[in-house]
Amino acid sequence: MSHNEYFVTYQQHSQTNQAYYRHLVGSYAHMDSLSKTTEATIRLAHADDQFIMASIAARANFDDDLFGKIIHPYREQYPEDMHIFWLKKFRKAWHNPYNLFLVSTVQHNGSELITGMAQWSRRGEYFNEYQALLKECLEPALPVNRAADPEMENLIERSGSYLPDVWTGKQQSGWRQISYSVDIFKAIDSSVGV
Amino acid sequence: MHQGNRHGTALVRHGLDLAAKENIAASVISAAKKEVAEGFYAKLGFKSIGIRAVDGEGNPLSGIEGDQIMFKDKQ
Repeated sequence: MSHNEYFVTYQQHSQTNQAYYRHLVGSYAHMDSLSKTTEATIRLAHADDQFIMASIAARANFDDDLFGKIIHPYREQYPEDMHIFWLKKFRKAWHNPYNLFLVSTVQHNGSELITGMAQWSRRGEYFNEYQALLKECLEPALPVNRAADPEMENLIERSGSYLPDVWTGKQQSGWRQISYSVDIFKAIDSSVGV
Repeated sequence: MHQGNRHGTALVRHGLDLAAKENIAASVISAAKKEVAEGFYAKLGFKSIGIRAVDGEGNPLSGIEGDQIMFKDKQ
């Protein structure tokens, strides 16, 4: 498949997914009370869930200082592009089996609705070995994220070398929560690390 | 954190359960503001270590609020 063909396919897929996502949000907009009464089911995310997960992360972070205002200054003009930022991260991280992607779901009218996502990462020697291998992988082929400032898009990665070395010694092996967003029920909270 | 915290909590708890099974630590860098992060994660047993991911001279994230590094030590 040529790049042009890929992007046409992506756009079609993206539009279908966006329509589905809007349907989910629309169907839940008036159902806040359900979150008080319905327990979430947690399951492993499928590759097919990546788009919805990225869309939830984009919505949850729309007005966040870092992910919204700084990294995505053109988000009002191109609100539907913002998910590309997370989709790229998820696709890259998906290749490392020591990353665990979870989604929270509820059943509604016979359908499963995804309400949130989390990425947990089992840090340690094996995680690092996979990361080293993945350095040679190509960037995921995705359209340009027009909502982002190109100079700010990799801000998190650039700050990685400034991270304090607190994950040493007994903390070297551990589970680190890398990404976390819950949106549909207006529970806006998120976290993203490196 | 307000509505939906049951779902958010369930997602976080799942990771904490994995850490507990292996008897290892769990950590998070929370993008949320200090009081929100500490309120939500503290209830789940995380403690702030007093260092933020935006600290450090020359850090391109300097000046941004939040980014608390929090740990839940192995039991």
